[in-house]
Amino acid sequence: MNKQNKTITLLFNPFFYIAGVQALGLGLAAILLAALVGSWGRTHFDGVLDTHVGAPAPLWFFFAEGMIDWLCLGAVLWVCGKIISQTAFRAVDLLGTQALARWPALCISLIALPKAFQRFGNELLVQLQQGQFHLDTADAIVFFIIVIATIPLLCWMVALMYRSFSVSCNVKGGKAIGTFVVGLLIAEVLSKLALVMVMQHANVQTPIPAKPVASAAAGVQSVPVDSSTNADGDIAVVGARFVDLMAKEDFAGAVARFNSTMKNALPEPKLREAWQSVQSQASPFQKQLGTRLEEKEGYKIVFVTCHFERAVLDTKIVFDSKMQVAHFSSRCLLCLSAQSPAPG
Amino acid sequence: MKRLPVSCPSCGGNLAVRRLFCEKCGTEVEGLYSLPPLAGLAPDDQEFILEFIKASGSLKDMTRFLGVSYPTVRNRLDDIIRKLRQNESKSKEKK
Repeated sequence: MNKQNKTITLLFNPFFYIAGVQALGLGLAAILLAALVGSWGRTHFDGVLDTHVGAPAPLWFFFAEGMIDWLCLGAVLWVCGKIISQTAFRAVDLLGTQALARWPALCISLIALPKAFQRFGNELLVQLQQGQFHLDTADAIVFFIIVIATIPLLCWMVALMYRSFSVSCNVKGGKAIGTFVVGLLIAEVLSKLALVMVMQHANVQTPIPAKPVASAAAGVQSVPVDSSTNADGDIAVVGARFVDLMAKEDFAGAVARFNSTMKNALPEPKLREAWQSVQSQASPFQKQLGTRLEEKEGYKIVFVTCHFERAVLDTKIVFDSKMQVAHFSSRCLLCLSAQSPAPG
Repeated sequence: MKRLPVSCPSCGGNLAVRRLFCEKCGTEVEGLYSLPPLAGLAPDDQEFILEFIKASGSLKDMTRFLGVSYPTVRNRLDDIIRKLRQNESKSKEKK
């Protein structure tokens, strides 16, 4: 095989040369590294085929996502292989090559690191909800370049997953492609369900730390919600108390903290309606997970991460110089139905 | 020495041996002899089988010898087995 052909084979079918334990070691290293880099840029692989940005979460959750994606697809394709393959194959070859097939995820994590990408993604979602569009052009260019670059990387990853299945189980042709597509869809659903279960389980037994790892990487200050050392002027605590009022459905108390513009734009009945709409989509409010602060153009912004029964939402509260609420919105960080706009 | 043809260049059918020749004394033997099953394989497949036997049938040793992965070697062997079975069933059909 000449050098050019070998390079092409290494890129699109590395399993011709690497499989078994060797592929498993390399693949697991790539999955863990992709999760680590993903935690810096808040890039989630929340499903076998999914890539989304913006949700702060503890580091272990990023690792769990990578492992769940890999194991779900590996297990489903193992069953598919047992059904359609006419030869005996080793599970370590399939699992090892499937792990290695996920290595483009590391490239996706790396290219999604620029803050402009996350900033634009977050702003776009907030502004879509509000029906306003005042977007930063430079951020928009970075965002779309990264989205476009992500698409071929995802296609490459899927092609590698198919090659892994084909080589490990010795299956070819239309039957193999059809089985792979069905297996991929089943694994996608299974991985989503497994991730929801992990989220629910973690909330019962493993409290998510108040300081989100990703926000620390982004240079944003994090403050625990239930800090006993808080002062009245601590804006993070004010933000947390504002969300407490909403959780207790004390909408009059919440509106009392609005500035005049907000009082006109979002009176008590509208606020009640908005909160009930959030509750109906995300199920009942459970607890606050953490807060973080940002300052932009003289406004202090508090992000309160809230756990609902079926979702984690980031509530953004903007305070003006009089410490009155000048803006208030929520967006879904981790949920099945509403994801932040991103490639994948 | 020329490569042994295993299929007819005209119709693609399997070839059989009509004449054999002794390199030492020049004796010629004429008859109708079928080719051994391995001779029906492509030369690189025959080479693979030869190396596989030399490796005592160890697929792991073959991966080291060929510098490819375990499933690649196993798939190659599976393909050869499939070809042998196909040739075998073709021969049976003729009989």
